[in-house]
Amino acid sequence: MPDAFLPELLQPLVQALVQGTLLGGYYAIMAVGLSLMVGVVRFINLAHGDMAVLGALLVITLTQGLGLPIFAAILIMLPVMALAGYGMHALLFERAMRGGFLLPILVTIGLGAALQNSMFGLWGSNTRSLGADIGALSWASWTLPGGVLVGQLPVLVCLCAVLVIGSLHLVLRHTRLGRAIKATSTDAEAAELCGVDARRARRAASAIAVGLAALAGVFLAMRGQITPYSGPAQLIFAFEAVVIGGLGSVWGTLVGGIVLGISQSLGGLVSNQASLLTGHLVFLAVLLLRLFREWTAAHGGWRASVRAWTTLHRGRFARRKGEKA
Amino acid sequence: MTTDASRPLLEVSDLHLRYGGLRALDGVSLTVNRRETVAVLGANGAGKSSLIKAIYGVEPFSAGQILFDGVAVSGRSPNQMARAGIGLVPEGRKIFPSLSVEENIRLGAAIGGHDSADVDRVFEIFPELKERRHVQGTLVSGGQQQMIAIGRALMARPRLLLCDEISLGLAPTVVDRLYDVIGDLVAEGMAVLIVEQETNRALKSSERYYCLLEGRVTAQGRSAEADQDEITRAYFGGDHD
Ligand SMILES: Nc1ncnc2c1ncn2[C@@H]1O[C@H](COP(=O)(O)OP(=O)(O)OP(=O)(O)O)[C@@H](O)[C@H]1O
Ligand SMILES: [Mg+2]
Repeated sequence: MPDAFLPELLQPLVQALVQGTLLGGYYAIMAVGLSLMVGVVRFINLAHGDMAVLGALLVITLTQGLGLPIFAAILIMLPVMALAGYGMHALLFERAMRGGFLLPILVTIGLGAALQNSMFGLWGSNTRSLGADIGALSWASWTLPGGVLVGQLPVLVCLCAVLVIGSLHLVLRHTRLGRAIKATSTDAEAAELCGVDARRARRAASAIAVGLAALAGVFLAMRGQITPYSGPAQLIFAFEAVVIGGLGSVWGTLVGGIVLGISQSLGGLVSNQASLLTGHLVFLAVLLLRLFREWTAAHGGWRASVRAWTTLHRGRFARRKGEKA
Repeated sequence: MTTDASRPLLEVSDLHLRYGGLRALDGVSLTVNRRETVAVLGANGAGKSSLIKAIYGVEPFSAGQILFDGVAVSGRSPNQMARAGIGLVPEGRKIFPSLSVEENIRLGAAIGGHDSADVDRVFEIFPELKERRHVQGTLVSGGQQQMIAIGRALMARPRLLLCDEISLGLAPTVVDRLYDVIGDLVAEGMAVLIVEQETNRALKSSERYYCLLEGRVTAQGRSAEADQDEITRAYFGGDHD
């Protein structure tokens, strides 16, 4: 609808920006747990996305199977999944971490596959959704001036992301556990020298990570449909948000999620396929930029790096000539 | 379990610790009595830090026994040692840049109970830290960082304080101040094991000493009666006069 407020050409652009920002909230919830795992525990849980799906399926069973109100179902599911995260770390991840760097990858790939197959066995392969359980919230939206539509559910998810990340920030700053987690992530050995129980800090971080993944999974099932095999794609989005936002900062994860969301929705203006591709490309660009910056920082700024690089190669050519002579 | 007041607070016997093929500790025995300051002297690589880390449960040792207050504590984690009543001021201070001065101090209370009263007590001992409590921990002076490390160890209300080279790289006046504080703590009933390369400083502030060389105790005795020549020999080995 043409409007005095927004020129007709600009309207889809603004719409995409708004949608992308809100989508970023979902990615941030998914990613912040992963960031905690990578940053604190130094452990990459490749089953992170499958945990999200498991959380969603549990809520679906509690509501659609047992008839619980959805809010109650979420309140029951979250501690169960957090406890599962704690136990998984104590029983599985700690052992895997002692086996070098390859074992954790293999173990969590295996865990992901086992989870997918178990969920397939228990819930079947049908697509499922929580959309029907939240009534009008799943489709209702507000209309901003200029005809920009803002979905109520995406707004709720995004607010929830701010709340989750804000609380995590407060926990890390102001609680004993938070200080232990931060110290462990900076230098686990030094933390132990200060009497910190690094093992407990890692298990707690794992519990928070799995709990938040499961919460993200619930939002995923509210927005659309999931199957037991939806996890790996969500893991990739979470990874991209973590890398774009930079490791080790919880607010950075929110920024990373929003940048990823906006990239995808801007790409979506071109075509459906371009949406995901744009997200991947932005992720790759940020990754390369970070690697480049790290490399130049290690070589005294980028000017000096370029100079060093050229002299290095000039030296090599000269040497080759010398060898021939 | 009864605690016998005449019994040493810490009894280390025949401790062996290896890093691969290297014998860092080769049968070390020592005791620390209640309300006593004991110094462990030794040159670079003598095994002083290894001894401290073994006692605190950071480095697993291959043989030997550690009794704290009459209880075998071998194989416990550092966190469990902190709970049992041992505080560590680690080598190199280990201040975390991601935490403020106060948060670094509070890290020592990750152990249970009573934070705020203990933080206030640390600020009473080191008032300059209170003024800078919100500053990033690694941005204060070296002496203040050492105060943070001591304060952090005190947060767990230890009965035994292990100090690994607290004088390293600090001005003599600052070192005096730190040793005065340690003296006060001992007067209040704490026992202290200090590790130092600076022999005179350590002998002045302790009742007894042990000299370590290549993981073995090469001399021991009362600090007041320490013979300079004997210590030099024990410190550097027989081939130095
Ligand atoms: N983690 C380790 N791995 C291998 N060797 C080690 C390790 N830590 C210490 N060592 C070696 O063990 C020996 C004793 O080291 P230790 O740190 O206990 O000495 P120190 O007396 O504290 O020395 P300094 O005065 O330099 O602190 C040294 O030869 C050292 O190189
Ligand atoms: Mg040392």
